[in-house]
Amino acid sequence: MSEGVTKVDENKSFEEALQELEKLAMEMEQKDLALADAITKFEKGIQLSRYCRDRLNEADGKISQLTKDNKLEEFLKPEE
Amino acid sequence: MPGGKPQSPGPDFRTMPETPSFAGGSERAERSVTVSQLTERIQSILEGGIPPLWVEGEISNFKPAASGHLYLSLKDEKSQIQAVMFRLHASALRFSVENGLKVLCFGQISVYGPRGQYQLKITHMKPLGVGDLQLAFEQLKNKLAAEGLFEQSRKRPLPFLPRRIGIVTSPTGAAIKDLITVMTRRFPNIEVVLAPVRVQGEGAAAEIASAIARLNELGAIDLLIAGRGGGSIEDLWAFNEEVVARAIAASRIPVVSAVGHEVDFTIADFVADVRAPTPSAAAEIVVPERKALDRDIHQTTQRLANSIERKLRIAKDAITRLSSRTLFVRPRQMVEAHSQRVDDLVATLCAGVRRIFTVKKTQFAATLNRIEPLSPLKTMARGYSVVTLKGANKPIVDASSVKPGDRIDIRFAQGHVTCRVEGTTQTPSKRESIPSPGQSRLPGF
Repeated sequence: MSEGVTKVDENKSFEEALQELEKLAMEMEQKDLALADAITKFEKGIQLSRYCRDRLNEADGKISQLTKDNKLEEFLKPEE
Repeated sequence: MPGGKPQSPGPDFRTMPETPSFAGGSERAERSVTVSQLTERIQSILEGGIPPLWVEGEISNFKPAASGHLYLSLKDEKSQIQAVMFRLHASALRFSVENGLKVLCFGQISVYGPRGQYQLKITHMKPLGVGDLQLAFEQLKNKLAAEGLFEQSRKRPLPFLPRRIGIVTSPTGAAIKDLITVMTRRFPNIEVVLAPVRVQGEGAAAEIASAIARLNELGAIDLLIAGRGGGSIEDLWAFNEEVVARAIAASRIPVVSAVGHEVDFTIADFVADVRAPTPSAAAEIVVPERKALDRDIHQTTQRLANSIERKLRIAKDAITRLSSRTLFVRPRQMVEAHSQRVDDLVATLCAGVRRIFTVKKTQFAATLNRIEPLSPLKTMARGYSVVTLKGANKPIVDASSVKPGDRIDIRFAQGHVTCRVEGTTQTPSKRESIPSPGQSRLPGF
């Protein structure tokens, strides 16, 4: 798979994507990196960055509880 | 017990007459008893005379029966006594009965007629020296450790960013409150599924175990937390039971245990992939801080942007710098060099042409000098003229080629005149008059 143009693999974990992003940032800070490679890495990095943000926004914030017949219903946090 | 040694172990024996007088055979039937009667007698004496009591001893000859009853002997250095613990009581034991265990048993002496035995019917048993829970804990811990359930190699890493977290705890306890509070503080849109269970009392362990299994089956959960708030060792006991340990070991989803306070260790803690000291700590271990992640992503992306910007600037500067250098100027230089060469060549060529011209001019002059004696001009200079018909070039050498009225040109050495022929006269010598080019004949004139 060629880098840059392809989308981020949906099975990639948040952590993997973030690590890859950091690796790219480090590589891009190398002085001897060719401009063309830098641009490819930059595009890839932007995709990873977006992917990471999407993963963070993925969870819907629902707190539910499992009923006896294995259904989910809203769980109300007990008051103090 | 005061008094002498002899023959009075118990008051009941007094009712018996003086011992063995087998005198008269007739007495026999009146005085004898059946085995069962004797046994009953023994039973009533023993059971009535020795009320239920605590007995200290070491377990030996332990035989658990399929029925759930436990058969064993209690012994010390000198004696041993048969004992039985029926299922009803045995099932309440938290620890495992095993040979060599020093125990304190509470029970009732009884006589078992069919075998002529007396035995202790145990209703309570506790280990000597340690608490029974402590013992049970150690026993289960050793057993599961021997099975390899606590091996470090079994521990699975927790997902860095769990998508949905399953929690096994009481819906009304302190643990769930702490968990939700800390989790949502760290990651506001975190998704949680609670499997509500009782965390103490009869049946709690089974509920916990089944909840772990059910959350495994639910799907889309990538992390489990099983736990409860603090309490006594009895309160936490469910998390020390084998069924819970087995459920955690069988979970396909990584499990974090979060039982009681930091000082409390349960079997669940040993089996779990990660032990959290408290439920709040579990929330911190399991859920990353959203703000920190946002910041990480932002900063790293910023680094990317800075890098590409710097690289582009460097490239741009390089283009500017390079464009002023010879590499890009040379074509013109090369053109100039070429045109110069062309100029040189042209100059050389011209010089050559001029030289050739000079040579040719010299040669021409020499030729001219050589042919000059043949020129009619010198002859004409001596007074001869050239006569042509007006407009023609050919010299007239024969009077017959003109007639009166023709206009003729006469060229002298200097200038010429135009005349009209008045008349012609033929000369006799025809041959001599046959001309060729007039000039060629001139010298011969």
